[in-house]
Amino acid sequence: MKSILLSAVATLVMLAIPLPASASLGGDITSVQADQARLQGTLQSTKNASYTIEEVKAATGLLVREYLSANGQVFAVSWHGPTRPNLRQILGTYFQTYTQAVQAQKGRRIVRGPVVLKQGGLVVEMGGHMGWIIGRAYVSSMVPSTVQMEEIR
Amino acid sequence: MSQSPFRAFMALLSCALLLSAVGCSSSGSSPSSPSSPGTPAPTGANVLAISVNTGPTETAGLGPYTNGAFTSVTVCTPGSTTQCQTIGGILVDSGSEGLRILSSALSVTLTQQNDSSGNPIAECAPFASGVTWGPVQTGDVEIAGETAASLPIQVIGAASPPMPVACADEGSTVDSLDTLGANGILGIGVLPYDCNSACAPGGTNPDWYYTCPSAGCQVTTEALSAQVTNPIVLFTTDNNGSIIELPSVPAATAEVSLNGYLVFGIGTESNNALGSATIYGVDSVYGNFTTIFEDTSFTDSGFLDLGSNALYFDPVSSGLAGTECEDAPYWYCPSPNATFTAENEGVTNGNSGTVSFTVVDADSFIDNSEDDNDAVMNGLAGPFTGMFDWGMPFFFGVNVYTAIAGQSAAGAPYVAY
Repeated sequence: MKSILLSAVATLVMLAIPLPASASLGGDITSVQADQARLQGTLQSTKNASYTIEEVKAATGLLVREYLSANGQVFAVSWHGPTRPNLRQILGTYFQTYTQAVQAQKGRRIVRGPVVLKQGGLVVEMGGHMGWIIGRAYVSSMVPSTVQMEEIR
Repeated sequence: MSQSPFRAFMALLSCALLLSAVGCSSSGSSPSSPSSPGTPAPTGANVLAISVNTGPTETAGLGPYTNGAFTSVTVCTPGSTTQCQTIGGILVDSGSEGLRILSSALSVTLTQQNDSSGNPIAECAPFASGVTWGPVQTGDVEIAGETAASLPIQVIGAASPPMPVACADEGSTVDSLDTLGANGILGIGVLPYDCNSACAPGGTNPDWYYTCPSAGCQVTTEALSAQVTNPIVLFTTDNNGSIIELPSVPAATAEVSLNGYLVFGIGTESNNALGSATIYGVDSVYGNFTTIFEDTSFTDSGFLDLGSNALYFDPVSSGLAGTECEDAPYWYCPSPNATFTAENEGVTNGNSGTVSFTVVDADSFIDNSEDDNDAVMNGLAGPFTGMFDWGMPFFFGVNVYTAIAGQSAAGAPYVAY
């Protein structure tokens, strides 16, 4: 799996352009551009056969990757760095679904650890520890069939 | 201890120990390790009793906590020896730094930290489970026989200052007993401060600290010494790290509670020698090492975290994808039990070692109502992509050393076991 990923990376076209940066799940490239200014980072665009990754390194040290399908839709977002992302911004119209999932999550056991929320096709994962937060969000129905979920990280 | 016949059978059947630093034994006995908890129990001013139990949420009727180690700390108004309060139900967490206490659990008056203009400082501290918001206040804190004077702590869920929108937009707020699961968190991780140089003047500033004039809170920088601080570094002695000592738990079993110790200092007293434990050097920014699991290297993405209640790792490479429990998708429910080996590697030294562990059907621990008072569950694990989180089950039967960056332990920051 690792080697497949590496060979895929080797075939990518990489551009490094300084841009302010980030987009919303379910949005398109215009939402990417609209949100970019808020992170005040640099943008790197990477393209392969199935999708384009818009990678934003924010001034805060947070790295955000947005995955756009061939039809231009943001089908997944991932992040890692010293803080949590602004989920309202990153999840866009799905933020409400996320907050509902947080409310619905309460189980029989009180626990602390990484969070995996699934609600109405939306999946949000948040893990790591203080100072190193990693996670991703995607909408299952929007993920191209050729994409392996472990590529989204 | 409560153990169903099914579980007893599985314990016999499976490769017995749930987790061992030296491999799986067929005897079903406790794991052995170069640094397993000693007998007799450690004693001294640097020894804090900790207990894995159902916690303050159970006492309050909010449900039992799973795999969490709780303790008590004493907090005093700065400079006072009489205005003091001992607070129990504090969760011990090696995955964070600093003491945080729920406002609702705090009755003693602490000193508000202000900026140079007299505006109160507050913090939006990011945990995976959500953010904790609240003012930074200082208190004199006594933990076992150690004292941290004028320790900056975070008060969670206070009435003011109000939470700024940018903090709320991080998505999930942890501000009460039922959302935090504890009266507070005692963060004793590998770093000296909670945000370190990133939040200090000149850092990248990941927006943790706020200054809060009446017009509203704004992001600010926070000098290291003002940040919410790992209490250990303010101790006058035994201030270079700690040892978490929990006894072993038989394979695939749940227990009502488990008593252990948090011993302060490494190599500073007769009761905290490093001995033959292997040092795994961690990076000084994130505090991670490398875990190699099922042919995948989680480079600089592995960590030991007493504050995580299970082992969390990749569902795809483990082959456990699809075995997530129906009613608790954050845990695995494999049948039969699944046994694995992983390798941990220091990122600042070449040390490596293997760890064997078994994943148990979480429903076998939790679905049976007679087990509802069990707090200790060996074999609990769950899915997460992109990291290896060695939570509570890792710590059963193995002494875990945490050496804090910038302190006196040679080779710090590191974890050792």
